[in-house]
Amino acid sequence: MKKPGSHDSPGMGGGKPKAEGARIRRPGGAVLPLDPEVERWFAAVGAAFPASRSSIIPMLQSAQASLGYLPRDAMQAIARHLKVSPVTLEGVASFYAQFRFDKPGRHRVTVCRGTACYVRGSSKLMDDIQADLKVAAGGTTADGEVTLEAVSCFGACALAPVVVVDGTVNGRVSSASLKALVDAAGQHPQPQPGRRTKAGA
Amino acid sequence: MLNLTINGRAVQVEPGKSVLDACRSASVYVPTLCDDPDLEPYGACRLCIVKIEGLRGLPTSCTTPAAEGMKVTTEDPELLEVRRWTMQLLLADHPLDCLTCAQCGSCDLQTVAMHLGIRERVLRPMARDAKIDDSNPCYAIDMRKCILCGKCVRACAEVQHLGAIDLVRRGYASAVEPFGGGPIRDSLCESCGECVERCPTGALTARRYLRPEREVSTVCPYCGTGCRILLGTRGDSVVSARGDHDAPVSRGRLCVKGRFGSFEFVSHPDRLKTPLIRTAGGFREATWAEALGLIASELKKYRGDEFGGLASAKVTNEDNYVFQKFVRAAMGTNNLDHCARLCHSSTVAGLALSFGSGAMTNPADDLSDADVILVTGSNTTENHPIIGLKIREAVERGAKLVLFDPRQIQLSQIATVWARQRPGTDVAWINGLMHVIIREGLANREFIESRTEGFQAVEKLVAWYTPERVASITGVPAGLIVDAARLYATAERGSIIYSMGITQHTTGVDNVRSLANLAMLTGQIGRPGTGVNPLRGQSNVQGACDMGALPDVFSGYQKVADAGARAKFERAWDAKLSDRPGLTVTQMLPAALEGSIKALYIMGENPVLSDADATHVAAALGKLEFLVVQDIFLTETAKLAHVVLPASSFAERDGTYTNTERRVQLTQPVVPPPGQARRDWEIICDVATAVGYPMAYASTSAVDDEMRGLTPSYAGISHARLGTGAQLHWPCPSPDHPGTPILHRETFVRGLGQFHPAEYRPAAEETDASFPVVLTTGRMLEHYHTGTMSRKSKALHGLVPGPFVEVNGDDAKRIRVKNGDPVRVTSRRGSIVLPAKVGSRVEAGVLFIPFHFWEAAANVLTNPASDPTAGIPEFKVCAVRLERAPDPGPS
Ligand code: SF4
Ligand code: SF4
Ligand code: SF4
Ligand code: FES
Ligand code: FES
Repeated sequence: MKKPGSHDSPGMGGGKPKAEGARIRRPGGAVLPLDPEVERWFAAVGAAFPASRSSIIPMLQSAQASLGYLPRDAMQAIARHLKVSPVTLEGVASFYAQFRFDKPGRHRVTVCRGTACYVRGSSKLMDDIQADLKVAAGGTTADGEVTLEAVSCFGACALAPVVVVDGTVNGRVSSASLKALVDAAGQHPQPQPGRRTKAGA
Repeated sequence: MLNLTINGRAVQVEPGKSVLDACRSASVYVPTLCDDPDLEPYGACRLCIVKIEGLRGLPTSCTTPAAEGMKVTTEDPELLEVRRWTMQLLLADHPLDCLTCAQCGSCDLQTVAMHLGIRERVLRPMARDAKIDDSNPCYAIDMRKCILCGKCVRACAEVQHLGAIDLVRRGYASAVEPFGGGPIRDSLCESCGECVERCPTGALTARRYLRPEREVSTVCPYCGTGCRILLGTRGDSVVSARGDHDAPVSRGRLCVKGRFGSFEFVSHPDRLKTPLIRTAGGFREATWAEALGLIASELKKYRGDEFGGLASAKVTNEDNYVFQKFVRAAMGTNNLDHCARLCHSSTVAGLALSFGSGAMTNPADDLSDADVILVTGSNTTENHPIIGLKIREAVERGAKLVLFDPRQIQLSQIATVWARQRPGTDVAWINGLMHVIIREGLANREFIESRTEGFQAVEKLVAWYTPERVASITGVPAGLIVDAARLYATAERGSIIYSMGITQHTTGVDNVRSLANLAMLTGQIGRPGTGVNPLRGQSNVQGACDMGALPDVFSGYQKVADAGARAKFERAWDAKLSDRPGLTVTQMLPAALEGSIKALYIMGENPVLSDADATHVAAALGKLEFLVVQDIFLTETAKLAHVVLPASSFAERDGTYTNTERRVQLTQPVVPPPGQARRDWEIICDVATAVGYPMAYASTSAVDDEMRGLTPSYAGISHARLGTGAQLHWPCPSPDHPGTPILHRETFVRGLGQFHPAEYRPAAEETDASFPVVLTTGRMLEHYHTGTMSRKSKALHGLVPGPFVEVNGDDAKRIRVKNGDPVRVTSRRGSIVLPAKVGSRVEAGVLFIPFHFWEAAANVLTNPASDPTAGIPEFKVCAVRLERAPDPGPS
């Protein structure tokens, strides 16, 4: 899908069987080799979606659920399946907060910024952990370990301030206990649901 | 017609028009920022709001269909207030550096602000943190100035049929971006500039543009599509270019070459401004009298068959007509040819034999009627981009695309069937298609019986070409041959589009005739949306052929060997003419080498780069006793000349061009030629006169008048008719004839269409142990021919600054090179070093090199072996070796 003046990514074409003299383009018949994990998701799940525009959101959700985020190749695969331009798909996906485009860290730390937590000092909590991990809310640490996020309210206001680490809700958190929680998580590699363990792409 | 009242004034509009259209036809200005005549109504800016009696609220006029009896108010205090608030929201985060903005003076945001009388920003200014993407050398992107009107996104999707950009994210983070956020240069973007042309603000602006004082419409010099460009001038220089919306061929659309690369070379300082004469120490400037005197005294020595002339597919019909007259009447020889030999001589010969006329059978707009389009050997979206758009448009509408192309070109993305044949195996797959069509009873027997002859021989021959056998020759799976055959044969209207991937083979004529067989077998010819359509490369290559810049025919394909035709021209030209067909360019150069051609006159061609086996060509030209080159730059070929004459560029000429559709278009000069440069036909007349055959015309249209008197197919196409906007496709035999957009309707030009059995013959040079890889050559979107013009454009040069070879990832791995590494490509004739572009555009075992670049000239490698009938060299296949370059090559 690249234009002639641009460079293909290194290694592209490497996996292409030589006997492949031609192919008919049926829906989903991706022409460029894509990331193998994306191909696997597509073959197992993606290809079954009806090739109509109403599949855009369900397919994006499905890809994110199994890959952990929406890598570019996943959008390429979906775009081809639905016969829309990849950037159109990106336009749709980036409109919704639920989709993430960067590979998440191995651990996910979510700090609540709802009113109750705010009143009980969550913004200091956030400032401290940002300084500690050297990452801004919404980002992932350089070593790919931790993704830091903020949400509005977990609905556990009685426990404020609340921080969720890898799916576990922790109440009455202080800056010190948060650091301990994050450090502890780091020692117990606990991949997120559906995330792959080895770096691809 | 619907009747409406706009601000109390009655107007009439056609049903289907919007309220905004109605306002405009009442000459009422309604502020708009997101509306465009070429795009679907969108309703985003909300500035075009109006009041309509009986309707609640303030509807947007651009999205409200006009209806009978509507009473519309476009201005009142309430509308003004609402519009001012809308504008305030847009201005809150808009930079106010208007004076230094590229859009200043043509900015719709300024116009609207003026109209609404905005005096201050009332909302707190917000700085938007937005991207500046500086990667594209044609246009600049400054998202701080984007008002999110979405015109660019819609232009890319609806006009360019591509979808390279879209609105991403939301709220304050919204922006227009290519996939993955950019840079734009690495995206799908084809740099057509449709978005730039429509952006209302300074968010997307052309890099090289000055507001012109006046604009003149001319024909783009870069390909056979024949789009019309409005060139803008200030004094004697060209400062802008945009599409001409009144041109039926292109309707305002242009590709990157036409829009961003068509005018810089016109006023380039390297343009030739005086005649040059070679001396021992190089060239010296000379006067016209001196140069003509020298040419006359030299050329007189070589009258007859020691002389040869190369005409040009870049100059007008009139220039070419005068040139053929000069060579034939003044110099007494038919040694006359031009570069069509190298691109479509197999078409001219092949289609003339099959149908009686060697040109595109249907106009390009016919593609909108086709339900199946078979494209082969044409990278249409790059080499005939505006015709490429018509294909994309047709596919979007539901037509099916069948593509046979070894490379993964853009069209492969939208093809229903894409087959990658091995280069040089075209006759085999076409025979295979016919085999399947006959076997499955899909042949159009009625058409074959009533309109054609010679079918039995073809039927017998293709019986051998089963899909399985074809698969083993071509590498295309048998199933695809069957799919392709069924799709094409069962189409209500099937159109074949082809170009140099078919013609530039030693089997070029067979390839062309096989496609003709296929069309006749299924009756897909002579109706709208069908036909066999060769896309011609250069702006006037069709015209140069029509004008008889060929060794065997006068203008209008009247044979020199035909006594009647000769007598007619002898009478008109008052000269004795040779009855012997002359040499082709592919014969003239070897003849020069061995000494039987001693003098050559080359008008506007650069054979050193464009012809096969460049080393040989240069040697041949070096052998000549006298070489005259007439051109606009000192090209690689001109450097070898004894005398160089400065000619006019497309922007300085008047005259007609015939595009690939046989449509004749008239142009006017936009600027005067630089220095002492002159029009080509005037120079040739002076040269003819100097050698003793007086030639003179009062004007370009006087040349045209003489030509039409001798050329029946052009007889009715006068400058006067064209000047009134008539769209005429030849043949047009009389002043009241409407022209012939579709050929072979009732009968073929030759009477019955002739089937021609063609067996598959392998390419002249097959791969072997020492040259194991197939090299194919061609062109690309961003450049034109030998680069003399396109490489002088900063935009085009910036997009693709240098040569490269496309290498498949497997091959690259095998010789351990990465993208961008230098590699050496060697054939039996020569060797060049150039960077590798590693990817999957070509398959393993195949390389592709564009021929535009002198520093790594593809034609050092190519094989001059040529088709026996047409003499076209086999540019598309030769055997080479690919190696890692030992040390870093030129970058
Ligand atoms: S220049 Fe053409 S292809 Fe590129 S984004 Fe603009 S409209 Fe699309
Ligand atoms: S870049 Fe221009 S055309 Fe595109 S949305 Fe922004 S203002 Fe509109
Ligand atoms: S398609 Fe051809 S004629 Fe049209 S603008 Fe491009 S190069 Fe010029
Ligand atoms: S505010 Fe934090 S959990 Fe409700
Ligand atoms: S022009 Fe009608 S909403 Fe923009």
